[in-house]
Amino acid sequence: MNLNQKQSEALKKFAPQIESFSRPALVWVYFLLIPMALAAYALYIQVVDGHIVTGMRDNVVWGLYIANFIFFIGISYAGAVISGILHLLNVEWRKPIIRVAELITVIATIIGPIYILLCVGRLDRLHHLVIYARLQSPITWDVFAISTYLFGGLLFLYLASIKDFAIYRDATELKLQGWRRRLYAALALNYQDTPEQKKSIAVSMNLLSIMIIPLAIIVHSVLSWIFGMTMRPGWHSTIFGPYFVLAAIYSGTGVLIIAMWIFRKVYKLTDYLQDKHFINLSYIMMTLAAAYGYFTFSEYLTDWYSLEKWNGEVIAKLFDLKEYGWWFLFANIAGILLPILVVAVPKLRQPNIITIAASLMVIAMWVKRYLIVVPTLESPLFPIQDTRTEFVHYSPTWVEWALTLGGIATFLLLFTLASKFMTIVSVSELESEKHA
Amino acid sequence: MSLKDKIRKLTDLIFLGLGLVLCCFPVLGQDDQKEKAPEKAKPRIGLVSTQINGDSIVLEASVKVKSDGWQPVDFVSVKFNVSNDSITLPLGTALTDEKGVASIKVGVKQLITGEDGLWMFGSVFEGNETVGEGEAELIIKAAEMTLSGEKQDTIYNVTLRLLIPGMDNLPIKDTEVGLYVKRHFSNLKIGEGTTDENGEVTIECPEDIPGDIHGNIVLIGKAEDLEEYGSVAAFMQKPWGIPLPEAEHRVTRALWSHSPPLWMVIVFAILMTTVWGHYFVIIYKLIKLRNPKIQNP
Repeated sequence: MNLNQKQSEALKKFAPQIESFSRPALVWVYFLLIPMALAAYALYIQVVDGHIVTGMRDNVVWGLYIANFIFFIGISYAGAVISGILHLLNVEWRKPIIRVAELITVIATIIGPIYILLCVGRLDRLHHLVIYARLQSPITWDVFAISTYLFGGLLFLYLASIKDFAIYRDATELKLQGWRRRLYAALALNYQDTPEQKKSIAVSMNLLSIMIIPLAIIVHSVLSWIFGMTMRPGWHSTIFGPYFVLAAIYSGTGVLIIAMWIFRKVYKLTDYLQDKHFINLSYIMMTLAAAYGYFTFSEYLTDWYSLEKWNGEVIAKLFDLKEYGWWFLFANIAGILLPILVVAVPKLRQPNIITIAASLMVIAMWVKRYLIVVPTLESPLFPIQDTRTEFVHYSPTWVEWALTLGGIATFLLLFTLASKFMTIVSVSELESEKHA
Repeated sequence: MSLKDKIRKLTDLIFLGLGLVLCCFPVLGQDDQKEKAPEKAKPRIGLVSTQINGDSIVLEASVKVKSDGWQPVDFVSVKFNVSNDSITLPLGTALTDEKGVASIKVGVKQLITGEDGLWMFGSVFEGNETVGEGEAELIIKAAEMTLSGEKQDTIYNVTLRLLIPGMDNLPIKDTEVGLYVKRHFSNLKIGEGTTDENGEVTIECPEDIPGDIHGNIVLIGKAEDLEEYGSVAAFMQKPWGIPLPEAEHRVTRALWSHSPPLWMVIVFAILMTTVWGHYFVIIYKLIKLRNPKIQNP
């Protein structure tokens, strides 16, 4: 492919990023391997000794793992919905951020379901999910929905990267090993930038953009229905579907902002990931924060007003500072009020401050997922009988924390490796920018 | 240094601080204060037994502590043993339930007796962080209850016989016994009586007791808390109940049946076909993409 001046400049800028691992990058990778090794040891302990090494027991059967699962699937929305919508609306400023968003989607969708596997006690019966699948079960819906979503995410990322692969293949100025150039050639599918090929990819991208948005909504709705379809207090709610979807897009936006900030700093991409990208995304974040706040208020007000015994028990736990009160406060202040405040005040609309707000919001959203899962299981619909106190109250063990940290480290490692395999800003999109 | 640079530096510092906070993110739900260990409470250990069908014994140990009355100590480990003058034989360990009762069932053949033919059982609670150690002892003689039933005219009669097992099978006289029928949650008492000089008593069994689908009911004879023998019980199954009709198992399409509702199958099929259909179209277009001259469909 022939490169125009803008592409050549971009390629020159990104060349060190994809040509080799710098010393700091290697140190970073080794650093990530430490929590991953700890997680591997924790997994070994869990497999050998069984789930007794976790804090999960007969009553509180879900804990950190499920909270992590919802969190990772949630942040995968960054690419699916945000980049999908921005692509369909042909928003021009999306182009430098779309690659980051798509990578978040794929990597988070790979890591999220791993926590389900960690939570399942009998992995040797995993195939039963398929061979004994009951279509009436939300678990079955989830298996099909997430695998379909992951495939769609991969396809979306691949489609958006074909032009770039062709550029890497043909760029003689890039110092790449032979195998990498051959790999790029294979992935580029003989793309020569002919009008037919351009049109074909554009049609496919549009098709997939249309498809990926409802698919992502279905996936997170299905995820919420695992909770919503049960009669448990705090879960059995008709707004859980849209509530989960909104929370997912919201946390995905936050992670996208954080990832952009990190790449901008590390690879010095101020020219590409500009302040306007942060500010535009912060507007989206603020709008979602307001909508999420409305859903949260509506959800708890309805539960509180009806004051059904078991719902009241869960709400009392969330409001009690001796139980989950502080976490609940943090989840709502950092998760709702702070992003709105930061974006509402013009002086605070700066990439660093927006990223701080997004970081706290993402942590708050994780805490929120924990608060959805655990307090409800500690307050079952039927009174707990014949059980020990430690079965009723859940405390995560070091094994669960180690595997949680391992998941985060794996997410960061895959992101790092991906950024070494392809430019973090789509070079081919820069080409089309001049036509826009 | 300009104001902008200062703000940038300040925000970088905030990020560093945020990173440190993230690293030290406190563990949810874990207590961060060590509680001062309270003084250990002195437990009261009880031990009772039930001899069943002459071949096994259920030992039940209760663990309680005094705190606003006697309160059960739940989910603690109790060790059981049987001993004579020379040896102590461990029988097993069990956890107390929410009522503070731990129980095990042992076969009579695995027990050892003293020279006087008595069984000397022991239950030991070794204590935990809050409750001190304690133990109890129970000395009983072997006893056996047998049940036999027959239909006389239209009446079902159950004969309970209470005896001391051995060469002579000596009867245990003048002892109050009860006849029960096993129900789902507890045993239903259907009669009682006192053993005669042969150690026997006959009790009438009602004929209108619901049984299983074959009309089977489980009858239980029991003499409770005898001073020398503990409790003695026996079980017997008889087809004297009213058969319950077998529940109908109609296979319909429903949320709870084997087959999902038709609308669910249709919606699922439409969704999956639509999405995967699009995927296949896109994959097909990708395959065709290899030839840059060919116009894709």
